[in-house]
Amino acid sequence: MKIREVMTPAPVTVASTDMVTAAANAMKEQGIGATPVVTDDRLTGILTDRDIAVRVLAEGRDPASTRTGDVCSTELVSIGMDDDIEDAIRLIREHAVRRVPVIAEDVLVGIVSISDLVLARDERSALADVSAAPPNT
Amino acid sequence: MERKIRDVMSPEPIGVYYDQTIADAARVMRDADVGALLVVHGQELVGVVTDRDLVVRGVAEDMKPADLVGPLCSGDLVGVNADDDTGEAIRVIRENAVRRLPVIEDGQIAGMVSLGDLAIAHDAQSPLAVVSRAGPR
Repeated sequence: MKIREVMTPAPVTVASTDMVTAAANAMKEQGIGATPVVTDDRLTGILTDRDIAVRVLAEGRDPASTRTGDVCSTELVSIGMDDDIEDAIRLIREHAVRRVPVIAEDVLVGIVSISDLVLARDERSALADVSAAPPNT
Repeated sequence: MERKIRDVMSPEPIGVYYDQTIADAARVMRDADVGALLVVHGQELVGVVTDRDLVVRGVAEDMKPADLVGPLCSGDLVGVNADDDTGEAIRVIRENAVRRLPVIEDGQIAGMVSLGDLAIAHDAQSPLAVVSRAGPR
């Protein structure tokens, strides 16, 4: 099975100059746990809900005046649309991440998460049920 | 033989008081490397707050790091008993579409059990188990 079949296409992104509040709004509105961060349409980072807790709130920074580009992770692992889902599972294991951006010719085209992969492999697992529900806890 | 929840749970749950700040809760999550905290009001357990709650119910609602964390928690706690089989925890997690549960013993909170703990117990090589061992990020 290919990445393109299980990925979430056209993910919502934030600009690296946007404030963290904008990313938090996107996470809430879209029911997602991470937003890719782009600079001039190129993927330059990824920011998760946990990053906001740990790197912004725990540090006493004001999310309304902190840029996403200053707190996102920039050591990016990415994958291609036509790679196999096993490649994504390997990357997720090696790098201990929960999601991997999908890139085509330097442009962000999707994002693939552990949940997407587990849903693809076992639609009836406990994780599949939880991942199919909106994130809340 | 099926394992008991006490064998896989994270003991010594960590909590914050209702009237501590969002920044306090984020620091506890960072320092203890956990994604959820029990919320205590006076002597009473009133809910659980996750790193995601801080973001979608706090930052996305224009709350500041100095605001109280208590109002962000989820009440209506669903728990399991330490002596139950792990299968019971999986069933309760599926039914309620949550990712972690408080574990009760002798009327007290004895720990927390997460989907990650259960994945490690059931299939140590699953991608979720591998990432769960690496901690929240």
